[in-house]
Amino acid sequence: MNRDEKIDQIKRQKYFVWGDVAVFAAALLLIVFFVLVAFLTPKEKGDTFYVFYRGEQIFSALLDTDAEYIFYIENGEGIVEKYNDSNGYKSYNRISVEGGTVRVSGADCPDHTCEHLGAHSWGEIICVPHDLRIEIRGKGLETDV
Amino acid sequence: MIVKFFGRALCFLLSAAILCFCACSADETEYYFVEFSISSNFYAGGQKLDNNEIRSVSAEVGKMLNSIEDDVSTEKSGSVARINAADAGEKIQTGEYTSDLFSLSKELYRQTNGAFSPALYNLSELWGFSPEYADRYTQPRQEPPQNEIDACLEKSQFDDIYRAESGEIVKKNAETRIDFGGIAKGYMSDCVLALLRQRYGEVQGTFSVMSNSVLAGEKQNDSAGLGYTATLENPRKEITGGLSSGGALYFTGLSDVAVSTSADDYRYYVYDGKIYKHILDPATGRPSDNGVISITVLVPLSVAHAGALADAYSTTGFCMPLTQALSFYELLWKEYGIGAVVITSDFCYYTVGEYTVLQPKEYAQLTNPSLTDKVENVFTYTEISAAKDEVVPCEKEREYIELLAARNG
Amino acid sequence: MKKITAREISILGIMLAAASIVFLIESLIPPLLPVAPYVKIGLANVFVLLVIIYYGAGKAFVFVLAKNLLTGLISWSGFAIVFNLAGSMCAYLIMAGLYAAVFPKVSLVSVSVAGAILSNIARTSVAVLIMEAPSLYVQLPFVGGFSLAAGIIVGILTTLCVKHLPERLTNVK
Repeated sequence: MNRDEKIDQIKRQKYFVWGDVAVFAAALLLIVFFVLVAFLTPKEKGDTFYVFYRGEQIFSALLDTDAEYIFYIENGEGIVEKYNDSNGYKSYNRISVEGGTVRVSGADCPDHTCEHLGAHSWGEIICVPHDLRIEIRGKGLETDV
Repeated sequence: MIVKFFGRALCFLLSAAILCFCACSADETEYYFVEFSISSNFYAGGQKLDNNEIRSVSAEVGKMLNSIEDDVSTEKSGSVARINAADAGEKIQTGEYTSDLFSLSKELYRQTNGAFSPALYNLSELWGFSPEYADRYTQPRQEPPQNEIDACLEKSQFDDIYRAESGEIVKKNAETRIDFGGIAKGYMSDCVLALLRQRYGEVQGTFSVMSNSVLAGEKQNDSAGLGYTATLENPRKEITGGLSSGGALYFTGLSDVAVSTSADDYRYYVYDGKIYKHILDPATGRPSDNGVISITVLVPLSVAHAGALADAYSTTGFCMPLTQALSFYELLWKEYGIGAVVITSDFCYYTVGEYTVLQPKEYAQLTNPSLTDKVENVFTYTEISAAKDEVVPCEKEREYIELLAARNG
Repeated sequence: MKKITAREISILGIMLAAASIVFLIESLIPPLLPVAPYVKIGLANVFVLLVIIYYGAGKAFVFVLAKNLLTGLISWSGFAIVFNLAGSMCAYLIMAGLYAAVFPKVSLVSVSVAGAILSNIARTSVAVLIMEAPSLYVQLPFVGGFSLAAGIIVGILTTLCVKHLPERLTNVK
């Protein structure tokens, strides 16, 4: 079937044809598979969150006390401090700890994805433009080995 | 036609999607081979190894560890299995790994006056700690009768195995069997370090083969300025420790050192209010009963076979009276700079050598002050001069034994 | 590939401009799926699909690359390019493949559903990869369901275009 015949086909075809069942079935199978994977992924609540900038851990704090922190980048270095206000910072993320969860409550990155990721008590929150990753895990004191 | 087409469409979609998913998720799985893990902060020549490199080197290490295990495990069909199956007087050709372990063990056997011996496989079997009992180590059971222990001791003499002039290994007693369990994992960590150094030259970073860790070089990117830090596992974490119950004590300021811990919360059973450890005393043929519950040994990497020595020395202290064990470790400190921490069932701990050993509260103060009130100091520092051979289990210890007894029926 | 005519070039150019504008407008809308903000409807896929239909897979490939280059340059942001490139390449591959292999046994809607699902899985995977954040994979069920809906919308839009756009606009000869 050449190109013009196919175009002709589209014009005459209905929006859905029988063959679609196969594609939709495959898509549903895929989603079911993802649900299973997501369901089987262990969701271990952490009690500490760790802040990584460019893959290096730069900060950690407990989740049991509500607090606000600010992450910002200065001269290519990632810094986390107690939050006062976000004025005067460039490339910042405001990190809020509330009731054992952590979320990004403000940021000046272009996409604000990190804020939309919401509050977490396990797993990770990322801000791709700032190369920032917040990881929640752990039980207390950590060492190299 | 329809079937063919359905097949085509399904295959297309599923395979494309799954391929994409797998390609990415495969990247994320950490590579743990047998019992090996390498830290993600590993440096060679001042450069941090990236994930691909870590993966590729882990694969190589995994292969090597498998081939060591094939040669030295009693359960495989390598050199050790052949030695154990051999008749008296038979000359047994061994692989390089078994040969190394044999020489090292002979030296340690001499140095410790027999407190370290790899020829205890028969005893392990008698007490139910050999691999075929893997699913029922903790089952309460009576002690074997004394005459059986004595008979077993007869065929558990390391002196009955020797190396012939030509290099092969020969047994005097066909029934004697060996098991390098007390040294093999530490030896493996030495082999891993050698492999890493051969591949990269000098390296900085940490890796572990089970409870044997190697902390190579100085810690890189050390923002806390504490050097390498290490946790001494709390052997009584089930009843003590508070929020961060996993650590009994913490080491800081470490560099270029192999660390190995042996403790009684691994392969044991409780019978009649007593913990029977998997560590057997070559002199009595019975599980170690000197009041020690955990020993950690730190051997500088400048000492040859640091990992293997750390592994072996951490078990020998279980097979001597406490005071003798402590003076043995003091000797090791003076001669080789080897450090040790011994924890006893009265919840005291003794440190040998000038290593920084911190209580959980002190370590929390340094690294995570908000945790200071949430962790518990479990063990009490005690001067070596105050140590007595007679260790009376404290109340917490009796509580722990009761808990274990109740759990294992 | 035959020689490209001036008419073809101009139509492709207009399509490219339209695709880029649609793309840019879409990226101004806040994320529709809060749990997985990297996921999008991909309205620009309508144009990619049209190019595949009218001009073939070869020219569509160039079209996809050009679209990414253009949108990348306009909304300059290094990380976004990686997401968009991965997403649109995956969508292109599956759509061109399905269209060539099994159309008209399946409708255009199916072709675009497959494209949407793959493109969004690819975008999530990029997020997982560059941030080393494997736990983001738990979003995939939402991503899959959302993409299914997005694919249907894009598919219907494309079909509408083919059915109702006047011949003189789409006749490439």
